[in-house]
Amino acid sequence: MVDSIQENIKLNLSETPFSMRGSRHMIYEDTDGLYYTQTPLAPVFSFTGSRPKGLLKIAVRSGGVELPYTYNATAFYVELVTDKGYVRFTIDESANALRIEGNVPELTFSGEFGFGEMSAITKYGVEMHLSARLVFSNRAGKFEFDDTWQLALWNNVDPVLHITPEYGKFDVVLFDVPYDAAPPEVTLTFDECVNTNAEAFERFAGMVKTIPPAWKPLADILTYSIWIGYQNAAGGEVLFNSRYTDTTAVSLNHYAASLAFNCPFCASALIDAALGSIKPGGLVPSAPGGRSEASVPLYGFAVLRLLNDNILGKLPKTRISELYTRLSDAAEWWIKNRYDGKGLFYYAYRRESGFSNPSIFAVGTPAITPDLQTYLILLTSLLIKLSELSGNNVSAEKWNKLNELQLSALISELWNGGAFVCKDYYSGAVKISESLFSFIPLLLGDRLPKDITDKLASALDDDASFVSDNGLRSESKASEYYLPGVQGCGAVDLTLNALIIWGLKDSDKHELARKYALSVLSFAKANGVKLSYAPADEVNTPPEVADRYSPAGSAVLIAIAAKALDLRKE
Amino acid sequence: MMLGTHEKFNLLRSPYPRGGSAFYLYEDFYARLLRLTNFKSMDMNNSSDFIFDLKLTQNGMPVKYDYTADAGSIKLTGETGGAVEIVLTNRDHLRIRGTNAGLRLELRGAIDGRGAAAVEGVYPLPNGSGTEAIFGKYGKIMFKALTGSLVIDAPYNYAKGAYDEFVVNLLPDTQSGGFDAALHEYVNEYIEYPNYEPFDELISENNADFAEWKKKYPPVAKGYEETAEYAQWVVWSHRTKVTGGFSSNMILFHYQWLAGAASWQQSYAAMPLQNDPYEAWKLICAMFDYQDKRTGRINSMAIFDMEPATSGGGNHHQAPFQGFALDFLIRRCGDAFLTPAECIRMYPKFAKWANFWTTYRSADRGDDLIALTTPHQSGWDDASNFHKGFPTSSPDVIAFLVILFEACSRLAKGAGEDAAADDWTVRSKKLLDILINEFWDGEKFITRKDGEVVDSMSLACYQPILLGDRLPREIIDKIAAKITDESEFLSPVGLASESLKSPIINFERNFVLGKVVAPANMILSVGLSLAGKTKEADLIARRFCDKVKKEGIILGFVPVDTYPLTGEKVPVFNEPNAGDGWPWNTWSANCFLIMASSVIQNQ
Repeated sequence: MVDSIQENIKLNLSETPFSMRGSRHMIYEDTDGLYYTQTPLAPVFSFTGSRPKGLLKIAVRSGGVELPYTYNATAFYVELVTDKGYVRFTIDESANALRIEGNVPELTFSGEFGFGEMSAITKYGVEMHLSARLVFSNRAGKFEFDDTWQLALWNNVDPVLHITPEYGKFDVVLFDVPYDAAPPEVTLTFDECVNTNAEAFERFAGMVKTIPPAWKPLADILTYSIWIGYQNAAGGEVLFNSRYTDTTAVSLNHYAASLAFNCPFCASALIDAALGSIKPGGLVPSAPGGRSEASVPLYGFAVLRLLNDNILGKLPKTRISELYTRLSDAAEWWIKNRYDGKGLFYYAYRRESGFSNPSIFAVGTPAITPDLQTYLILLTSLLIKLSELSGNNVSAEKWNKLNELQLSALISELWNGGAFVCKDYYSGAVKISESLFSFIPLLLGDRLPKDITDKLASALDDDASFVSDNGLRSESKASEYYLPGVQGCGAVDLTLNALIIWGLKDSDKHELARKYALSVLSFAKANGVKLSYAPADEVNTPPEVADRYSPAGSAVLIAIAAKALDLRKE
Repeated sequence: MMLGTHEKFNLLRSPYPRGGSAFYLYEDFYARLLRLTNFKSMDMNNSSDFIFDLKLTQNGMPVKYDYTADAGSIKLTGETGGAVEIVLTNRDHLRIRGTNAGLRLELRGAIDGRGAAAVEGVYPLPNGSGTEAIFGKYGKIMFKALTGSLVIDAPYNYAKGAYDEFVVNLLPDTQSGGFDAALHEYVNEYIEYPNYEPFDELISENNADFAEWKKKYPPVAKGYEETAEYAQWVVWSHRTKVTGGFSSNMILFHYQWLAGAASWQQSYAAMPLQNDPYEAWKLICAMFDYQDKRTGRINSMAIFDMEPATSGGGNHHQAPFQGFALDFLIRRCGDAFLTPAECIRMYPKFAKWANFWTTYRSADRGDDLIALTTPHQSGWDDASNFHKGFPTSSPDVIAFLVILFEACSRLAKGAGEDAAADDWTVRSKKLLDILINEFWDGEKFITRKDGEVVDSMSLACYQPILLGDRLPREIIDKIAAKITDESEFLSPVGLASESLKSPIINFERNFVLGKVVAPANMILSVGLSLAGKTKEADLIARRFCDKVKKEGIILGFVPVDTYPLTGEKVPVFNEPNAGDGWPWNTWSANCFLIMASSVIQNQ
């Protein structure tokens, strides 16, 4: 199995960096060669600006001249090959290190210091303090390094580490280690590291939903991208939008990404990475550990999915109880701060929708919108069930009353016979938003009358409006608010597509769900995975270097495929 | 204490804050307008998006205004009559009142073209009690009109996906001609304020609070009283409350340029508080809340956004100044504040901090000699004794460590750990011997890298005078003579940080490659004073303090108009910047207060 995984996941480092879950070490290919870099942590103090490229350029030299090389990269190691020898890299998780071995005449790591960064030659080896403390330690081979201090610039000369073999080889460990700590002991051989990483990945891959075999090569690279997208930040483990260009974690994407897992622990951990930041008053922020506006309340749907898939019960009772407390606190926050008292809720701010500027707000703010009602109906539906499961009939009754009122209000106040509308909370003005947000009520499935879901499905499936060859546009092409390159305003947003596809499936619109799923999957197969991109008939910017497969986007795409495609038939 | 348009000092270089308030005001250098912002994001004034222009209005039109400010409030007076007054509080809100005038707050980012980029949403509350606006990483503001009215103009541009502008107009009541408004700042959830106090009560409270704070300081030498009051106000107004990453009341360095509480600067702030040594001791201990549990390292800075328990800042830490500050305090005030309970509480932490130096900054000789790995660990970021790089044993930090060991001994004794106390005393004496025997070359203290001498003409070579009477008489005499030599270090405005004869002296963007800086002048003048060289100490302190009297509470001054060796003119940078030569700050304020109260002799 390990061999087959290694065989299947060959990396093009200009598209996908080499790394692993929880490790900040990365190797990727920029326009001028391979670079070693690290996922930046939010610094307390940083005088450094952003770097245009990675931390350290990797080069092979002989007689002072740079040698050309080719590379083979799998999910578990990278090998440079020259006519004078080779260099191999892998990650040693037990030592939080990058292992480097080889026999080329000279291997160099070179970089540029920002203001206040520094290097030193210490008893551990060569240290470079570049956003983190990097310690190069030579188990075999020789180092040459200039650490001259530049007084007026507050830093050393730019770092260039020269590594040369001794007795025909070099064996170097690049530690990512806290300041004032000795590097840990290295206990594994290079090949043991490779195998350990492969086994860890295989275990992880087993927790991700299976998609039809025809998509296996894509599924493998998506799974790898998700795996390396897990990083430690905001006090826990989060899933980044990207390992290189957009190292942020967004709550909305965590809820959607959780749908990719058949392991309840993985799924609930993702949900909790966001939900766990809940404030004492019940506000769940829109980014794990940060931002001050409320998160779109998709957490109810995400946890409800676990219940419906019969995997919630596999979590410990204490965990379920903790989830219930957080979810009910969050619900109470919406009731206290965003409720009209008659079954409808409103967004006070655009970003509470999970997007910055969708046309559901064209009616004005604060806005009562069909997507928000859907999320909160699902939340109270979940709270009813969790209350019942724990034998708390009083709570169940309370949530049930609200849930009924919500559903009734959604249909009576926001359904105009042909479409869901948005309402200005203060003026009562009504406007139809020609956006995918108006179709989110499909997530309610059979809670909605069939004629409503039929009309929604029919309105959705229109090439002149939403359908494009690479996914559903977030705003109808015919809309005056259509902006094809903008998230939530016309671009194809994977998260929105996932929710619509999920809703179509739950509303028995299987063929439509499949059709839209295939369009996003086909595009991803040819072009990589971005969380948001222009529709097929608009201009699309190519992915950034080393950013072809967004980790969060990859998880959402797997969720789409697993939900919409039939394993047996595809 | 007054700042204002026509006063000796204005708000171009000093902000107008209040202790416990996140809001502060300042005068824009280019627009000559007052501006309002909040320090929590730590964005610098020259790059922040979250700044409001303050425009006094009459009949809806902006009019020119002057301002005056004291500890109580700041008043804007229109050239055609009408006035607006702003009082900052320590309760997460400020109040604004107007008489025959309105106030317009216009969001305008520091960088041209940024406009209202900071605002992400505007939400009038359903009950009509106010309007909340959200500003991304800068947090939220709740705008409330208590009397008069409040109108917010915030047109949203769908195509841009942003607000074209964000303008708040506070308008007087048509009957009374006045208005009263409150602006609340917070990050997550608004908590209703139960009862708004009468406006004048808040002003009185601020004045009373400042008056109480001033009592913590002893009198200063004659002629420095007015400047001392400014300095005391700077410190009072930069004092945080317990909130966010501040686990106790701390003293911010700046609001506008580096809104953090630097670790060793808390001890600088402690030293002048001789009428309240308990408060002083609290400040010395403040940063130990952030002590790294594994290594004992004390974090270099506390900021609003950092959890107190988190040891942020990576490799950053500052010099072991706490012992020097404690020793000074005990000499001036006695040690009654070091109760057995306090000694028991703090001895282990002090010991861990001292052992951090000898373990993780060890020169690896098997004794207590240390070697720095960055210049910031000494506080002198570009001192010339570091020109050969690192690791480096510098005498100034060794001197601090000698006294820190003494402090450990004192605390151990107070904690009832006599054996440990004796051990620390022995270590202190041994390290002092090393300093004198290996780092004194007969003329100055030297720096060593890899055992070799680093040639330098830095003032840091004389800083071990901070040891005072612990040093042999001949060393004291030599140092006193050298640093009061006007051809070497003593300029008309105080001690230059690099000898005026040095070929590498630089007064431009550097910190201690020549400029006259407050902390160096304080440390050396205090040291001379402790060594019995009170005349020399007085001379140095007066020169520096006289400059502060004239220019304001600035950290660093260029001592000459031309470079001594080349005759080249020294360029002057007279625009707002984060460097030592521009803004008012607490580091300079505390150094001034120490020198004015404890070094300068009344004549």
